[in-house]
Amino acid sequence: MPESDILISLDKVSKCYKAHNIDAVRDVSIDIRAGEFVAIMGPSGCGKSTLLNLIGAIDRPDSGTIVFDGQTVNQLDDEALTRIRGEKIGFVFQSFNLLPTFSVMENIMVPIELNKSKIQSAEKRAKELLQKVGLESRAHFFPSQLSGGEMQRVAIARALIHEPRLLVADEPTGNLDTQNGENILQLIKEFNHDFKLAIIMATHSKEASQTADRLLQMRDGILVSSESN
Amino acid sequence: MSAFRLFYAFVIRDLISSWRRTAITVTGIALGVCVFLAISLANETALGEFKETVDLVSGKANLEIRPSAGNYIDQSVLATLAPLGREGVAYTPLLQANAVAVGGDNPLVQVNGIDTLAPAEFVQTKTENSDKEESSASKDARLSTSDQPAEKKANESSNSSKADSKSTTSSSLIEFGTALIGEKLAEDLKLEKGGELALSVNDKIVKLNVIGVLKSKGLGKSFNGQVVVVDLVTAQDLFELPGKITQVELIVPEAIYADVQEHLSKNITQAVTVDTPSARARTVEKMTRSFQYNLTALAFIALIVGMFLIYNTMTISIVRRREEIGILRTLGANKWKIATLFLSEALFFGIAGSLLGVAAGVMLSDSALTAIAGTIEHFYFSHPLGSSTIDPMTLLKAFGIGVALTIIASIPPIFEATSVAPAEAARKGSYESRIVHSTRGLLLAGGVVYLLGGLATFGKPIAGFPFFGYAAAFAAIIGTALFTPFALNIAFSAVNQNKTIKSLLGVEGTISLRALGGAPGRTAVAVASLMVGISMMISLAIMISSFRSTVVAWVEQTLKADLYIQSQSRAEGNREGKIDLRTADIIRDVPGVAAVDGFVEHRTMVNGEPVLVGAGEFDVLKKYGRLRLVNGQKGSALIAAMGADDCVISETFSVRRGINIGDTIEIPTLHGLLPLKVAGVYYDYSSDLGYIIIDRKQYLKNFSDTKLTSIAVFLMPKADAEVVRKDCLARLKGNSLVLIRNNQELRTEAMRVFDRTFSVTYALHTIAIAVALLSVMNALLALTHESRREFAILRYLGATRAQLRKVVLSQAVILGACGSVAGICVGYVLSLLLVNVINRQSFGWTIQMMIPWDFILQSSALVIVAALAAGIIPANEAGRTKAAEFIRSE
Repeated sequence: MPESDILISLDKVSKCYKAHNIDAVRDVSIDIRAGEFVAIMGPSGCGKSTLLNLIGAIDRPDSGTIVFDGQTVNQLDDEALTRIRGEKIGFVFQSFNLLPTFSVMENIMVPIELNKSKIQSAEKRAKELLQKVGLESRAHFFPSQLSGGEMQRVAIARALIHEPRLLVADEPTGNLDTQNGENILQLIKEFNHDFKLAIIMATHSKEASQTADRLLQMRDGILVSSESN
Repeated sequence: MSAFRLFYAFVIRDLISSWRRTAITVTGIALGVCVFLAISLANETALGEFKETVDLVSGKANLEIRPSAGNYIDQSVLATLAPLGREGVAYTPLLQANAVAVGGDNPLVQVNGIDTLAPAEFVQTKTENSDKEESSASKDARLSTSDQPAEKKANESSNSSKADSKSTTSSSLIEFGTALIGEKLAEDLKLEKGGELALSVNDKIVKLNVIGVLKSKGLGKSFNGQVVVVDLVTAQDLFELPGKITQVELIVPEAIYADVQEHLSKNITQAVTVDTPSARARTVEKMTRSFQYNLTALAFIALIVGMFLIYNTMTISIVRRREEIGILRTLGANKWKIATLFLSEALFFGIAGSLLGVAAGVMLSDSALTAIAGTIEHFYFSHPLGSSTIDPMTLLKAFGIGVALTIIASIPPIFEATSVAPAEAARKGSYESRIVHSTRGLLLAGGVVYLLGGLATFGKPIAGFPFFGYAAAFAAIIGTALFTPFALNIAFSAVNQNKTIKSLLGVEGTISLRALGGAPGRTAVAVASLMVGISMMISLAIMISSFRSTVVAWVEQTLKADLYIQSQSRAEGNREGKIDLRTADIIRDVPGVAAVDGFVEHRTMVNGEPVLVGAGEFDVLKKYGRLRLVNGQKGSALIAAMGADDCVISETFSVRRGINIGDTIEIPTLHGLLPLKVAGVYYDYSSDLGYIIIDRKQYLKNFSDTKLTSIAVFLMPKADAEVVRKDCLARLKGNSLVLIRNNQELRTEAMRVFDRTFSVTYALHTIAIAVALLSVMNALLALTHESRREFAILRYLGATRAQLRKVVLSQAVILGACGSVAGICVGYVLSLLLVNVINRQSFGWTIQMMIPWDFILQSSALVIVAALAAGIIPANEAGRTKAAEFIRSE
């Protein structure tokens, strides 16, 4: 693949949790292209979430190199990593993780406000995103007033408000019923296609993994296979 | 699992893992107990030392004859007692008065003029009372000197100067001008046997030969060892009181006690009271009661604030562990088991905090004593107050109160823990949702408490203590605390809907506000804790400021004389120090002096309560007096219209005794009870005992005391006060040692005394604020702990560590600001209660309200800054949030 297409590149990345003596990720090397949708599968505790955290600039590897959008990030300090997250990465979690005391609109706007981005244009984009996820009528609702599927759609809108280049999704359908899960995957796929958004998604669901362009299999912290769908 | 293992696993481990919360809570309780104990010990020591001196001087005397009119009785009274000697009654006269020793720190001393040839039986009793070993060697062990044989042996190696002295007994004092002095006094003045003691007595300096140093026991221990013992004749000469004594002590056999009392009341023609020596201590107790009650009540504030801290801590503990409670309930633990576990946690806090508080209180008690000693000595009685006496019962009481209040404050959260179903307990946030749903109920309860508080303001004081006034103040605090969740809800909603404020707060401020609003229970308790501390500070500040401005105005309007004279001895701290009458005559003749008003006062009892009787020159006051009358009438006009049997009384006396214009009061005089008609009530802030003022002519007719307490000098127009002062001093030189202050100096002195009186108050409310800030830190730590998930999400969404710290610091500022606003509002209400109810019932003063806005604004800003400082540790904890670890734990 042309080097200019690569959004994120991991080279022999390892992460060990010394307190628990666990090698969560061992010598993982992968490249993810801009606009590529990659799914990671593997049993619980195989290191999927740790790998997502490394890719999402939440955590730093003990060894190896991570290059994000042409910038080596594994040696960056916390401030710089935070800036990269705030500008280029969006997150979606299994438990939605909306802020309970913030309304739908406010939840979506949080990344913009945290990063002091242009709020006025962001508000317009937030409304567009809400429309896209089908929740424009719920803008002033609070998370406790929403269903699980609705909360995850808000979480997706929040993850995309700052126009990231990468969406990190950790079991986004894990807490949803089949119908809602399918809807969410459909939505993610649409954003992947429409915005040329790179997505890396951890999942236990085979059906969900088939939505992706490529499927990575992990076991005991090691990447055991990489197959295109 | 055994009860202990469950206790260890559930309580002790949690106390250790949440060590910050444990430390904060224990410190808060310790501070409250410490302040309460220190003040209690200081109060008890002050009275206890006075009582001890009375006991040590009176020895085994079980009856005492004292003057009921003025300060002295004629020693001719002894003739009446002569027949009693045959009935087995021992008695001895005593002249007791204070002076100031010259040298060292000019200590106040008590001079005891004793009958050195008192009956052996009487003296023998004294000997037994103090030290049996010395009874054979010393005739009077009250006077056991360090160079007596029994002591000699013990002192040979350590004190040769004492050891080689001859034995000294009370009979040695018969030589005129000799004295025995207390060991402490000897040390202070570096005096030994053979040395010369100089005393500032009234307006003279007199010298005595020291013939021995009294050991610190018996009489030598009285007055904190600052005691001088002389022969009665020497004392009468020192104080220029020939033939006068202050008391006769009697040892009366029980069998004839009643008969002797009857004999004395029938046969003594002088104005005396016959009572037990301890009656004197009871009088002093009555005098200081209001001061001590109110000081104790103020010391209680830190404990009340501490209760909020405990409530907060226990609520946090229970809310944080609802899931565990739910699991335990599911596994079969009944409500009582859960209650016992949390009760044991509360007990741990109570016991640890109280123990620590007791230890700290003991250490601080001397400082507390020093803080109140000046006020007590100035306003109530003269007694050197060295170091606090540690009474084990007081320690036990403080410990018990600390533990009991901890348990009381823990009851509501423990009840909360036991009253929820297991399924509900396991649901996150169910406690806060209960608070949200019970906001209206709390509002209603607050209203009821406020209503009860309002009704309490109409209650009369009980035994001189404004119990209902304090109950009303307590109700205002509790009522507002109950209003707090509702008020915060309204305030936070209003702020959330206001875009301008939101943009000002920024995202961090908004997140803070939402987090606080999302935990109304905890937020309300933290705000209420601060509110209590701040409200007390504000209310006291308003009260003190109002009182001060009232006193300043009173001083300016009342103290109109150009010069004020008092004896050197009084100026140095001897309240009894007086001026010779001839001094007034000398001053009157000084060029530039227009008039002289000699003032004298003494304490007496009216209807069983102490009061001051004062006398001034009404002829002078008619022209120069500036008495401010309560009914607005002109003071000089009233004085001019007054008859010989009229008096004016101070407002304090009028309010506390319920005596008004037109009423008649009877004061004891040399000739029996003198009825006086109250012609006017005047404002006075110089003593809370109250004054009855009569004309000096009337005074001289009824009392034997011809000396003066002070002299006010009015100058002719254009006379230079400084020139007249110098002239006065020059004319008095060699005859009278006095201090002459000009008008401004006296006003400054008056305000210095005022400020010193309230210095302890400032210290007390500062500690209450410190406890309140611990409560804020506690709440912030809990909020931070519970917000870890939200903080982790924010980290994922791009929040920097600095932003998370800012969130917590914003919470601290919001809590500080809310606490300040609520504190100022409640503080104002409390100040109204302090000024119009508590002060009025305790002291009877009229105080004009004055709001010290500058202080309120400065202190509020300081509290917010302090709250911000309290947020630093929680903020750093928030900054350390490990997003990956927390989200992974899902």
